Amino acid sequence: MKRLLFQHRKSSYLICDRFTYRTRLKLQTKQLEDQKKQKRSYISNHLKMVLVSTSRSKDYEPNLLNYYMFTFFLFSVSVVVIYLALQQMLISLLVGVVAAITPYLILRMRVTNIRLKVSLAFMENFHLFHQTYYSTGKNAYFMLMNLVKEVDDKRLKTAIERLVSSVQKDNQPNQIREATNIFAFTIGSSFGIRFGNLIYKALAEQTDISLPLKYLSKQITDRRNDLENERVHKTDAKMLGYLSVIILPIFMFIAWRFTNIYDSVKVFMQPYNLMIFLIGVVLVGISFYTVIVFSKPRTDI
Amino acid sequence: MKKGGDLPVSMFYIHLFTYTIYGFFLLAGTTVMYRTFSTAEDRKLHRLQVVGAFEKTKKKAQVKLSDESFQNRLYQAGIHFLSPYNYELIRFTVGFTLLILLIPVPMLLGNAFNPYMLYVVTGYFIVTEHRLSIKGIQWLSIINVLINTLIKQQQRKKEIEIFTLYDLLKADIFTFDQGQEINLYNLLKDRIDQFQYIKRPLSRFLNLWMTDPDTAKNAFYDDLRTQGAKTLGEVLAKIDSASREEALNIVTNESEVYNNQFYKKEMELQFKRKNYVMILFGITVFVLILWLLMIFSTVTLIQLENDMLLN
Repeated sequence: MKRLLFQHRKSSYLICDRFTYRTRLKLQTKQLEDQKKQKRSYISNHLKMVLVSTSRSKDYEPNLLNYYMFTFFLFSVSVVVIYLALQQMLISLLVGVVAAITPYLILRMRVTNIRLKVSLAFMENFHLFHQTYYSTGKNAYFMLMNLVKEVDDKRLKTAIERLVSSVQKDNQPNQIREATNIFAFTIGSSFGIRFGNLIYKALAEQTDISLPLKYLSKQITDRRNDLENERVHKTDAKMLGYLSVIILPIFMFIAWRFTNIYDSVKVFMQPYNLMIFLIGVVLVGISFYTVIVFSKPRTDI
Repeated sequence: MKKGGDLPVSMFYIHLFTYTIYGFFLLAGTTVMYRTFSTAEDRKLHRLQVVGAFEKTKKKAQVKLSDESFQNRLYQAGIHFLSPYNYELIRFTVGFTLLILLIPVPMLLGNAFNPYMLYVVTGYFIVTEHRLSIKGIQWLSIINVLINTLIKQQQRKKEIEIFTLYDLLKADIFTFDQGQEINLYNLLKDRIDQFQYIKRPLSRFLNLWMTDPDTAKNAFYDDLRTQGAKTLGEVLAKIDSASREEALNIVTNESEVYNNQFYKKEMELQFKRKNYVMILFGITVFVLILWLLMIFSTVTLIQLENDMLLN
């Protein structure tokens, strides 16, 4: 009887053991799957970077669901409204797509504006990066801490602060990777990407990056000299761009004076005249934006 | 105000509703007929035949539509999720649904044949055709233009990442002891995950390095097709089993050369961009002048009409 009981217990233990093994395996696979799920898709990753780099606060956690909901709301509302007004599905869908893209386009324009300023500031302040790295005994974390005090440019300062605070929050390599990626995205130029990779290496692996930093700073000074030449080269294109923007109100005034004897609104509202005028206005808008972006010194394409 | 006889729902939906009910009953009737005139085994056999025929045609189509150069271009553009076969499948399904919805369906619903719709469908097929290679109208296939711009973008990202590779090499070799020999395979093996865009040529390089170093050298050149990529392969081959000082010397010099080449190219691109921008501004000015001229001409026309009336 005792033996039987013992055997029963043994077998139950064995089953139990196997069961625990199985559950452990299941748990492990589930954990791995969860980790895979946590890896965001390319689009949401990109959107997160755009949202973070355009924000002013240093620890901002974007809620992507809000963004998606807002886009969907814009799309559905514009589709319904245009469909009820015009009774045409294709046009309403087109307008809906345009309305859905606009928030992203606005964000993207802000990103370009910020990048133009920050990448220039990064180039001008890079000697500080280089010096601080040496003065803090080749420690990347303290270098970033000290840089926050020394850099004057506001945007660059927030970018560095963001990097420091996310490193303080979490010291795992993949988290540092994410933070350095956001930093490189905010700066945007090839130098920013290179510095982001170097700083990741210094923070995650504690390697000495003094030699590549030295060469990077040398190449940046070379590039700064090139920038001066470019500025001279661009002037004629800039003049033409500003001319095309200024010409619009002048021409409108001339046309208004010329048609004053007749019904000027009627002449303006002739279908072909109106069409060409609308195309012209859209082109002027595009060239205005282009001239603003184009006239600023670009550290990188 | 609407007239009393008008319905609030358009005629299209009524037709759609009737045709749906008609189609449903037609389908149900044929299935019932088929079930009564055939045994279960017959049906199984028929089903298997249909599936077999489908698989056969699918295989044939896959062989016929597997375009290696297009596949390569898609891969270079960073579109990994789309094979040429899938692309053609999506393209033709969308095209034929467009064709059916725009031409036979309106005719069934009682409208006249509209040739404009035929232009729309042919336009769709031309725009999505990636094999269009007639000189002068190549820009018509928008998918080609899109893929080419994507390839250029990816190329640029790859070129910037080569800078990173040089930087990391410098940092790694700098931490070595004096006079230590360099083992390239061990040096690069753990670094692969840090790259995003040149992961593929780098892993190819490492795979070939142990067996065939001469072809391994060209791994970067095959992917990027630039002079800088060619020298990178040679530099990597040179620093293997060299001493620390020698390797540092080679890497710093070559990275400087690469830097100069890259920014020279960037400057040329900048000049090209300036030309494009000038063209855009020119078009804007031209359109505005055209508008003013049209306003003048309408005013003169009105004046002429008035003169004629007075006379």
